[in-house]
Amino acid sequence: MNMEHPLERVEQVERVEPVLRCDGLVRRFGQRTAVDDVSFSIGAGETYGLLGPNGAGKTTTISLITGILRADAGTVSLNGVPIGASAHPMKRALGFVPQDIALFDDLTAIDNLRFFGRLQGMGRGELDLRIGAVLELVGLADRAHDRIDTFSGGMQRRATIAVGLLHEPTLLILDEPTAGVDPQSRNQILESIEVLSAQGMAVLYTTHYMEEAERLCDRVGIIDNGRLIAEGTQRQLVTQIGEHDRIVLRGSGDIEVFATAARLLGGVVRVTVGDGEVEVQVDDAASSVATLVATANDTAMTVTGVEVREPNLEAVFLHLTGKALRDRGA
Amino acid sequence: MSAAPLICGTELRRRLRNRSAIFTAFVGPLVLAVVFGLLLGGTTSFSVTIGVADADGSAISTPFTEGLLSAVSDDSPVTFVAVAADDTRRAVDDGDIDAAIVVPAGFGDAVAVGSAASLEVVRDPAKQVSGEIARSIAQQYTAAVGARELAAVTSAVLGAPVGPEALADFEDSAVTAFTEVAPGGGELDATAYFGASMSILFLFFTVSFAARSITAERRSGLVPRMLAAAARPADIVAGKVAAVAVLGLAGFITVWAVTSLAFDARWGAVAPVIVTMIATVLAIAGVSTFVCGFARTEQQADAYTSAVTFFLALLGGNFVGPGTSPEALRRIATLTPNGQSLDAFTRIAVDGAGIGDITRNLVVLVLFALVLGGIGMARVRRTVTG
Repeated sequence: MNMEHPLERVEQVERVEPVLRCDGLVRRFGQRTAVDDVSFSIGAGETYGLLGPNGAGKTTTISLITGILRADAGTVSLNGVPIGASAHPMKRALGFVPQDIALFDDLTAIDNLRFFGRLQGMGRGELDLRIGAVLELVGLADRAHDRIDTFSGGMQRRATIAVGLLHEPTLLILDEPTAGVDPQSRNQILESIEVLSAQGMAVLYTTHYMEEAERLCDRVGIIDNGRLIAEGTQRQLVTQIGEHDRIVLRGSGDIEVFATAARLLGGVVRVTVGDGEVEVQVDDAASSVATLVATANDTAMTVTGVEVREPNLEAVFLHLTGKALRDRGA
Repeated sequence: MSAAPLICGTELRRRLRNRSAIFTAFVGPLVLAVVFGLLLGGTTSFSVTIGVADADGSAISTPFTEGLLSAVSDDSPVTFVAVAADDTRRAVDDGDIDAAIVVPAGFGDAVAVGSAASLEVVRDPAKQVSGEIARSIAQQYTAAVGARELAAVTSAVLGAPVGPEALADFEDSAVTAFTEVAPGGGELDATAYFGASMSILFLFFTVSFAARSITAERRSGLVPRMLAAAARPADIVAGKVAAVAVLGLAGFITVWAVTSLAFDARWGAVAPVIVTMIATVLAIAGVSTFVCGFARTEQQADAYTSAVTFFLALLGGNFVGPGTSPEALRRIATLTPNGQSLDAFTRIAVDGAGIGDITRNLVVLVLFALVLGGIGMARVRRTVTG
């Protein structure tokens, strides 16, 4: 498990050539611009979350990176080498796990892996070695010779991830890999991605689940109406939109006196008095909780409960796009 | 290296596993072969019996009728028999003969005085080929008589008699006419002809397979994944079309083998037959690629295939026997790949044509493959990537 702070890791990886660099990507469908001047980069060992409401341009951006679609403008570079939509040898460095299962469901897991491995130019010996390894990684080693249509939804998801990892890409693109997956399989998938990231793989991840993005992503890009409207670590994004940690103290006694005293403390941004509770917005909850509780005791407020609410990506997302991330109708 | 062979191999493997390949390559063609073998097995040798009646008995008509009745060998598919002039209608109606040529009384006198003279052809509307042969012979004869009249008039004007050579030419004219109807004197095997014809029709039904497969796999995410894995749109189309072509060729060979071995159909020499099959399958693969270049949905693939199949099958002559369609339609048939293919198969079976003799057909079939396939390939990025 990687215990480093995400921001520290980002600072490390950005000093070297990024694994993926997108510069000014544009893609139009008729009069509609689906991707509008999107630029970002991902370094080795970094997991980058691309978040956005439905129809925001996430999948189109991924299609431009993988060469499924041709960009009207802009470039995609893998490990410093620009690639086009054609069968560029550098595409071997790219692993793709699409939204759909995207496997031959009438073939076995091993047959699917062989097909996509050979499509990536892998030889027989290399394939034999890697097939065992990736099936082990995704927990499907004992189902290698079973047909895909006999798998559960979660197992099919894991099989499709195995295909994306087979040729040991330096960049793994996962487009909503846990959609419709049971909790056990989801956890297994997330753990696999954490392991791969720790091993130095660059990961581009899209999801509708905020908790997944918060757990996995070192940096996040928020895309809406085809434009990348914000980018950074979770902390940077929170700061960027002016969101603060919130500490809610519940209790009885002279709450108004406590509120007045709290407003005078350092690091306190705003104090709001409610029914039997006071919400205090602070710069850093961790360093403010003890001071606030002590102040409450000093002002004769009897504290019965304390709740710390740190601003999350959901708040950032809502602030920037006006939509909840899982607003399917968006 | 192109990904097409890998995609082709996987497609074939999947079709074998789900047994659709078994039906396309073996069961369907086998049923086809058996049905046509049983339907046409009794008439595999094309034969026509034409009655000849001479009600005139003149010096002009007798050499003609006697020439017909004595000129035909045992190997010929056409047999001439003498019938009474007043019995021809009944004989045709009862099926005793397939058609009749009648020299009416007074024919010789009319010719001698230079007035209008005509032969009668009695034909059964249901037996078009037989009727056409009788009509053709009668036409040749009357044309020859016309030339003889012209020679007689010329002789009278110039004061020189008509020589025996001219008369001999005239007597041979009927045989000449017959030779033109059945060039080469070979037999047209109905089972072989319709076996080839229906195999081509069966090939047409496979045209949509590739486009349907691509649109379905695009929807399931397989095609995008293949593209992301460095396959080109052209590789995907080529792989899918090649798989269908392999199945189509297997089906063609099945029909050929079964009709030849079980029903004694005579397709002709093996090498030109196989080469024609391959060229035909290539041309149909071109049609399949063409459809792939335009169909964005499975419904479109089906609709385009139905339209192309019906149009080409109708114009190419797949629904009619050889020599039974009007000349204009026969010319149009040469503009279709199936028309070219059927022409080649007919020439192999009837004339004993070798590969060198059907080069024009083969070249045209390959051109169909290249042109239609080229047009399709030029558009596949749009349909494959959606």
